[in-house]
Amino acid sequence: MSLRLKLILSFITISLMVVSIFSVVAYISAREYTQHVEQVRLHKSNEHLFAMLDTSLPLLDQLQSIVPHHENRDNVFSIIDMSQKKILPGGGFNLGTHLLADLLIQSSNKTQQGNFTIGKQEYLWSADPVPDSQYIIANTYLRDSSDISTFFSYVGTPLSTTLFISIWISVWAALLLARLFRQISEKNTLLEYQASHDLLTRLPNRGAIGRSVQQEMETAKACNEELVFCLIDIDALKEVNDSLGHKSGDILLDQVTQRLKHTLQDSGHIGRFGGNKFSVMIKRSKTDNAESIRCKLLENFEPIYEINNHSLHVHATLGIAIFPEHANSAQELIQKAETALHTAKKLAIDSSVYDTSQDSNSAERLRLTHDLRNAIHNEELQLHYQPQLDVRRNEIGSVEALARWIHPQQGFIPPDTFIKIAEQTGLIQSLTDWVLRTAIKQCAEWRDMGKYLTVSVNLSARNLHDETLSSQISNLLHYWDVSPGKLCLEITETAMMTNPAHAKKLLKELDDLGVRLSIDDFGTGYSSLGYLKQLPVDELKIDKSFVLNMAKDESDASIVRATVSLAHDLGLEVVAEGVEDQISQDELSRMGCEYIQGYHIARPMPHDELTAMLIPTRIKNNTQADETLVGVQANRL
Amino acid sequence: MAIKRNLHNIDIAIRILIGITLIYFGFVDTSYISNDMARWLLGVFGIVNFFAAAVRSCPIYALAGINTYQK
Repeated sequence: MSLRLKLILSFITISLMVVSIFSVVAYISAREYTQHVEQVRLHKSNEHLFAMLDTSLPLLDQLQSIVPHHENRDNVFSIIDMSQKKILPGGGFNLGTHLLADLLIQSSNKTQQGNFTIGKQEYLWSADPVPDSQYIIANTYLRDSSDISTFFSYVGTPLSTTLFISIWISVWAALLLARLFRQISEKNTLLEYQASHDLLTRLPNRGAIGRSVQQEMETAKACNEELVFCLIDIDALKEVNDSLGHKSGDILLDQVTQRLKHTLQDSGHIGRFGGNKFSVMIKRSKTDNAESIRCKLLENFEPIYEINNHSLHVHATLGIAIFPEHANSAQELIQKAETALHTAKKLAIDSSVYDTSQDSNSAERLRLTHDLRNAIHNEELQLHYQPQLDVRRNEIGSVEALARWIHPQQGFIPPDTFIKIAEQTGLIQSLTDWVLRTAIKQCAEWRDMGKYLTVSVNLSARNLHDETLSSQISNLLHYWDVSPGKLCLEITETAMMTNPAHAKKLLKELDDLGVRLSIDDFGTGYSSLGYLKQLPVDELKIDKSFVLNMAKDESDASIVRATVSLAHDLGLEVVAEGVEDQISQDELSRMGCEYIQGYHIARPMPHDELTAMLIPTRIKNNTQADETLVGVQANRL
Repeated sequence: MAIKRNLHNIDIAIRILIGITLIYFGFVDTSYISNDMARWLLGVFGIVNFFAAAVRSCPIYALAGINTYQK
């Protein structure tokens, strides 16, 4: 039954009920009113009778003679002697008179009005005492049983007219209300649709995709099935939008939608993930593995797309994640697919299935970030120092400070890993802060022991954006009373080149402080020599990749030689890192390299070991130094 | 504002019939209904119906979005 019909019927029912209730109430009220009117009439008849009495004559005789003359159908009088408590002859008679007389004799109240029913007959009565006597005149009236039909003959027509009109108005109201309801529900449906769908492609939007993934996951979980969630990135959309206009972009999106629908038929859910991304969710059957789904989806993009008379090759990238293999919640599954898509784009391949190792935002990594934050805050990191041999003076003149993290559960975390995390999460500033504090303090301690070592600290590209860095370093140097020349800051070529103007400004400030500056990993970046020339640096560190193989590879040796020569020509000192054998060391000495760092000299070690190594022994010559250092290494290992 | 037709011919015929009947009982032959108010109400309803039939458009239909003219 339609809403309109339902409303009409219920409104008609309501009007019928209202009119019926009204009729009953009107009937009851009318009866009560007529009863009152009749009783007043009976009372007045009694008084009329009394008025005719002559007080000088005997009362009873008069009553007995008058009463019969006044009796009719509507007035039946009884004469009651209250002192003798009996009905006196002379009155009229109907079924009610005796009953009423008995009632009055029993009660002492003399003036009363009321009604009573005998069988189906209703009597109305009024009893009034005759003035100055013991007599009562009771006047009864047998009520007309045709009262109800009389009532309806009077009110029937207006009542039915009212009923007719009220039904009419009810139908109007029902029609209007039905329309109002329909409009509201249509509007709600539209809003619901708009909130959950992309209006261009008419596909579910991101929110709706999330919900349907969640639902499908629950079903899949119950049936022990697998779900393949795939994000499709239409690479060409931006180009189409830019070159052919947004209308063409819309046509492309529409065509992609049609093709996807055609490919999947009803086997999967397609959604518009936003921008140039579509999503497809398919239940994985035994025959349909992720690979075949991938191929099937990519096939969509092989045929040429015809848009406004332009033939376009549209390339798409796919990111695939599988439930329950990769995720347990809809949000996680979608996130994994996004990661896979990101990986595919980064590697410039057309698709990628999610792989934990490629995920930079995995839970594991998040945990590590959290632990690193705590470790920095609680100073649980260690600072190791790798000595650098001053070739000219044949002694350890400087050390490079290197942060080490021994995770309470996972053990040694490679510096590359945690420094990368620190850089990505902004923890690098506090990490550098801690390294600087510790290194400068250590430098002061060694100085107090009579060992004047230069300590090198690595700066990250992100540190170069720290406006407070130079003032902070200056404060630390002041506090520990360390000469600025004993602190060397190593900055990689790449870091300097990310924001050359900024780097130049900061390096200038640092140079003004008197701090030594060193270009780290030289030879691996894309630095311009013209630019490097302008920087106030003091030394250049040749990347270990060249040094490691220079004994075997002549071209590496040439690069090292050229770099040393270049550095000297620019007035810079040279540090060679990654020296692992005597041949390389000798060769570097011959080339005029000022400092040498590497496992051949010493591994990075905690400050106490280094202190123990440096303080009692003064290196006399190369051979002696080697023996000492090898000894130290052996002890430590 | 032009009144847009929304009544079918049958609808119009029924309304003319009802309209005339109600106007008759309401204002012409007053002996059937003795109650003045009831008579007036019927008469007014009759006029409303007759008017709707004459302009071939029912305002309540228009508000309720019903159209018997174009099915």
